[in-house]
Amino acid sequence: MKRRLVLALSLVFCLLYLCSCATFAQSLQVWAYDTLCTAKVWGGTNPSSVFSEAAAEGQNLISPKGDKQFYAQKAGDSLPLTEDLARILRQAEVLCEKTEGVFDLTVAPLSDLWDVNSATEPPSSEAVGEVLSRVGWDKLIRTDSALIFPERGMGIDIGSVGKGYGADKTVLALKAAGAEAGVLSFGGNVALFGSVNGEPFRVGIRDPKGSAGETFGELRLTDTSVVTSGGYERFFDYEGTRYHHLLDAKTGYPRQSDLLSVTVACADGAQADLASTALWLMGEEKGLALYEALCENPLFRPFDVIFLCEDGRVLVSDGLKDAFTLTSQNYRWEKP
Amino acid sequence: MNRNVRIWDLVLIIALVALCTVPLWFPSSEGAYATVSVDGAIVTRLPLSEDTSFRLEDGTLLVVRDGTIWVEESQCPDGLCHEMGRISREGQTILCLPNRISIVISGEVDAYVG
Amino acid sequence: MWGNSSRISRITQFAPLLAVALILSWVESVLPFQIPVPGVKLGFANIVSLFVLYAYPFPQALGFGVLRALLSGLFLGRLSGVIFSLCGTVLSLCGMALLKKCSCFSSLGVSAAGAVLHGIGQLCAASFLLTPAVWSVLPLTGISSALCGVVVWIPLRILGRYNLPGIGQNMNKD
Repeated sequence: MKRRLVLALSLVFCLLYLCSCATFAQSLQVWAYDTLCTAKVWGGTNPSSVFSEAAAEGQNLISPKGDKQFYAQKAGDSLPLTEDLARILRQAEVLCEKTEGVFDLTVAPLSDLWDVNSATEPPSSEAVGEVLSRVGWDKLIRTDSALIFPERGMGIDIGSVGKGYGADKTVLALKAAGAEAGVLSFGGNVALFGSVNGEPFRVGIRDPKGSAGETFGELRLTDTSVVTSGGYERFFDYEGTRYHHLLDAKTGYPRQSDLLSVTVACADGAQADLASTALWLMGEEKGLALYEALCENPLFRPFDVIFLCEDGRVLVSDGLKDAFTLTSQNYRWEKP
Repeated sequence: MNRNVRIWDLVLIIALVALCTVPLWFPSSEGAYATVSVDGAIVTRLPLSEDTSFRLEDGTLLVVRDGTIWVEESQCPDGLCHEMGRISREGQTILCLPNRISIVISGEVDAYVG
Repeated sequence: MWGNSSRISRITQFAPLLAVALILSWVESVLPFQIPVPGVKLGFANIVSLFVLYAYPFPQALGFGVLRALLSGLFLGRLSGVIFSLCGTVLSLCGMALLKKCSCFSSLGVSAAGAVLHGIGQLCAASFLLTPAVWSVLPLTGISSALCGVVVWIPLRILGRYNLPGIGQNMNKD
């Protein structure tokens, strides 16, 4: 009798022990979008293979070969539109209109000209002027099923949008495989789902002026994507001037903004990426107006923003007020 | 005395050791940073991984060592903040009400954006 | 005869046992190597406590344990830590007495469990008096205590082989 009791107790104990082990997170990683994509996933069957398959899917947003750019090889080349791509491009179109052409996905040939990742000096103004003539969303012809490029050498670059899109797809795939929770980071694009022990996840937002790993704030969130844009991410310095990767499609030169960074939290990762870039390009005043306009727009899902201003102020939209914590003494959280 | 070592002894020992590993079952909530605020405004954020000391303007001396932080010296009349000891885990707090100082431990974030 | 002796004979029996326990504690404290886990000691003195637990009724064993904890704290100058070792001792002796009643376990299991409970008792006190953060050392404390409990059991077993006058039959009774 006593033996049976002890045996039963030890069995229950072992079972509990094993159960608790099963909820440990798996750390996964895969190389895609020319960057390291990592994830921590709780639960689910075989999350590692689901992850590596789904993570790369976003690369095929514009072509099954995994290109992140599309260039017209001759006048009249067209890019076939999938449903998802069409939705993303409709949003990009709205942003292009509302920013009066400063934000423009057809900036691809300009980005390649500047090539801030490897360049050491800016291109000549003639070269910029020449390439600028091949930039402009309004030049494109859009049908229901395709995007037609009227000129050779025009193109669109949706590399970064693809990351947000791919992260969303990966979250869906992991959820379908039974995963309870996860934190995905695709080269700085973060997607969150579920929760561990009922706690939201913690996302640190990098301090553009601090060293690596330093943050100016933290967000406690789940079931959302978080993307930050800013001119500090990729740049080169030439003769005392900093040239970064966020180009003004109107002028062809890096845009001057009075924002250090814009962080967007949105259930749609692709939208978060588009919106954060466009808002940063607009600067504080116009950016706030643009944010309000986008909140009204039915093409955009509801989203929240954090503006980090050059003068050290931090502006947080209402939906993130409870989720945000300031973590740096160098900035002030302006509460209206 | 029971001279025969029994299988149950082993079961007991293993069960006890397993019981002692309970803290390991949960994701570690060791803190990573101590955020020091005076009057609600952040003064500094000290990583607990680096042994250091920090003196606040009013003379309060904080020491970080071995992943814990404590108040080494304080000007406050009751000295309670000194007696609150060392804190190291997420959510733990040292309060010094006379000086309006708070030290809160926060954990490592799950991901970074930007 | 040992267990039910008069007051005087109890004193004459406990005094040398206490002395042995204190000497063992002292020997342990001057050993060149120490276990680098907070609150964990090899616990040579526990040999005596364990012996007393098996040879005497529980209340006397408990009294002996408390006295030993107090006196070793006093003699070894660790008075500030006495409250921790007291908690550890009480929890450990109570637990061991219960386990001893259960016929499943031999002195090995009882000794190891006692050592682990001693560690847990200390942590209980520390988490109340200092900070709950001390529980994070439980895995380390538990595993090293269990090992110590097994090591300490070996001399007790050897001791049990010798038919000490009056002790053997009483120990077998329990």
